[in-house]
Amino acid sequence: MRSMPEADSQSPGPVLPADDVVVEALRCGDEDMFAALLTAWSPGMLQVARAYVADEYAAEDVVQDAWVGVLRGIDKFEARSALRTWVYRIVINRAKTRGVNDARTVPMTSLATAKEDFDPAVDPGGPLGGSRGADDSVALPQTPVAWPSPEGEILALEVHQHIERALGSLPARQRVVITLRDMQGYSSDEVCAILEITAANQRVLLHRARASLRGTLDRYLTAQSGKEPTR
Amino acid sequence: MTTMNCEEFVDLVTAYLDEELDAGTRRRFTGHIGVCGGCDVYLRQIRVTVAEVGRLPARNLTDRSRENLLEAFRDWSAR
Ligand SMILES: [Zn+2]
Repeated sequence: MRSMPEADSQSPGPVLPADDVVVEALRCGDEDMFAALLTAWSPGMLQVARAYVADEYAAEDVVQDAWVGVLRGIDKFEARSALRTWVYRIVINRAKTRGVNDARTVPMTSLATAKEDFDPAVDPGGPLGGSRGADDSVALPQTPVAWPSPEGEILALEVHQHIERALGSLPARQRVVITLRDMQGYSSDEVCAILEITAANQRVLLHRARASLRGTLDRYLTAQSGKEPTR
Repeated sequence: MTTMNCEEFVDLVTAYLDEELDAGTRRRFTGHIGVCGGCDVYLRQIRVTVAEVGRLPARNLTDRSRENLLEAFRDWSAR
């Protein structure tokens, strides 16, 4: 029933009407519809903005600014992409601009986020890591050892903290892709459309991001399992 | 059926999880799991990683930002 082929029917969250209905409602001043969009899309937009800017406050500014941009542009929106895709492109553009400006005024802010996507994975790990430089490969880890269950509550909190920190050290586009795919549950097609990249490129970015985070968890959980089993 | 080595396996994990492998490659991929404990563990760990990332708490806009935006919407729609 979606009017846009790019729209993603699998995504979680509140069900919004088809794009043409949403756009018409906004143009007619339907505040409830605007409020529903804010609720549904702002969390993902904040996460994506955070990939380019220094902190949560800057991300909040960027997302506010992007929503104002959406209002300014909605009369001219021509549905060449899904509405959500168009909104995310706006937020990414603004976040990039903000990130560049911030980096200029605060030199050490985010060298990591200013780097582009094909940096070596944060976790080169393993004996094959050094010998392989191809863009589409992730280093094979040393024979992986099974993790202790991360299901315990204390462990789960620490796992989240480690993942948050690891996300912060990913190159921006890797972070955007893993955010949209694994946190927001968007389809690869939609992520390709948002970032205007090929499916193969999207997969490489996701692959590297997941491999980095796996490496982070591996270091943490393997160290845990070496400790006394007190819990 | 040619066997798959560990290197190729790791390279294909993401495509496998997105169900984008052709049938033959998929069979070689799953065949490797049966003979390689390390890659079996690796795949499980990637799945756990994906699941844990999905469980990170998300936040929304602050109430204040939201109010600002709803006000901006009212101003804009009165244009
Ligand atoms: Zn193997």
